[in-house]
Amino acid sequence: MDILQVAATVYLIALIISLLVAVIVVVIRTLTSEKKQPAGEHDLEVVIAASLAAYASEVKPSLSVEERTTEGKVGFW
Amino acid sequence: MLPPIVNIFQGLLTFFTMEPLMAILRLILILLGILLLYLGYRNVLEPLIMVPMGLSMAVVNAAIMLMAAQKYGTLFLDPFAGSVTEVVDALQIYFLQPIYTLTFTNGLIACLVFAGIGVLTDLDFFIVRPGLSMLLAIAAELGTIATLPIAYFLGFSLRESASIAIVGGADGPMVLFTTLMLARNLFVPITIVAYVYLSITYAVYPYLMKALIPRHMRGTFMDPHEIPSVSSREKFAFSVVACILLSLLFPVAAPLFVSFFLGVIVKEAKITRYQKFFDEVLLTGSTLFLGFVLGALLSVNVILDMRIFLILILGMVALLLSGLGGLAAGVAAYYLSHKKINPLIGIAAVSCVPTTAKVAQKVAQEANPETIILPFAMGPNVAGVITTAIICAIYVTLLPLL
Repeated sequence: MDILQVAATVYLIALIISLLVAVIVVVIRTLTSEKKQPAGEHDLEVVIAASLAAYASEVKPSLSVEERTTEGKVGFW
Repeated sequence: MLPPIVNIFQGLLTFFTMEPLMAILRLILILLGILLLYLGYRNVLEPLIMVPMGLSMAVVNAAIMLMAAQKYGTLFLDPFAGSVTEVVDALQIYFLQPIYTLTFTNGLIACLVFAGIGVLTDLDFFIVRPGLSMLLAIAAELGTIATLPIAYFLGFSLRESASIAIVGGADGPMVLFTTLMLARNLFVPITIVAYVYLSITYAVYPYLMKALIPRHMRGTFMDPHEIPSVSSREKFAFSVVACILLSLLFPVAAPLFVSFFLGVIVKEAKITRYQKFFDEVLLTGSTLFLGFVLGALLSVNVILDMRIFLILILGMVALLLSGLGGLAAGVAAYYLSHKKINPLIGIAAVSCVPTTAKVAQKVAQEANPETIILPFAMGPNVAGVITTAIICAIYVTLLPLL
């Protein structure tokens, strides 16, 4: 194998592996994309925390964070 | 005849007892060290590397004295210690020898720097546009590939040529790693050339962009708000899968892959203690010792290989070709996207995280103060790190088989 063939081979392999990495990104993005997931698959803790905060702030905006959470938890559940 | 009092001042004495050519070269290296120190101080070259490197380079050449067996040397380090006995002796004599032996000769320093870079790496645009990022990055590896036959035709061996060519990838840790694996005999000159030139990308690439890309193209507006949000989960999952897959394909370069992705994973897992440790302690400390030890290796009695001048030229050729490849791909992306992609993000694909992306942003903003291409440039910039690691892995795996 002469030197130009070596260079061409290295470039070709690098191109293929790079495209493979790009495909992996697309696959992972498709599998983990939150927009395309049903609601039940979301991170439950995040959903609960966001809902609690939103609910509590609507009900009693003057309460502290701890109070809101407690209030929210009561109201949410 | 020198007066006996001069014998007390050994650094001065050796100036007069060594060969005149060596003495002149030594003086040049001291002045060059001071110049690098000054350019680092003025922020013309990267101060994080240049300040410790320039200082140790100047001092190591000033502090040459007569060692055992009337040989010239310093108390900094002995890179030629090979046998177990020599290494053990050196560890007890030279103050930088423990760092050199335990972190340089096995590539650990490259991995530590790479882990720190991983923590600083923002994968957002890369995850959003992986195809574009990777294609720009592979085009910006032109120098990493094309310099291989050029160096070979100039008389370097295949392994040495690959070590020189990897300078075109503009990633210091990768140059360290490849050279240690393939051409340990040229480790000092190639690594020095790589790190000096990586600083030069600050100075040279803006002129390259302005010379080749018309002003209206340089100012192409890209709206950062159009970049969709990417969750930590996606970035975390990608890092884990890519790390395992690339290590599976190229076990020889697994230390590099795992170091880089460990940094990314720590960041995406939001382990703040590790994040702070990687960034503030590990990367800072590794960069300091990297610069200081590289400078200490530039002693006149160590760099006697006259091929360093050829390596200087080839290193510049590699980086210029990579810059040209990135810009050409950037221009292609500009036209294929119906003039929506700023072609300057192509040069960010040369890697050198995040310098080339910052340089691209600066040049774009000079042409159009309203354009902010930095978030877009970080995609090909990160892809450039990955493609350079892939090419490094192919070189290190393939060339020993030929």
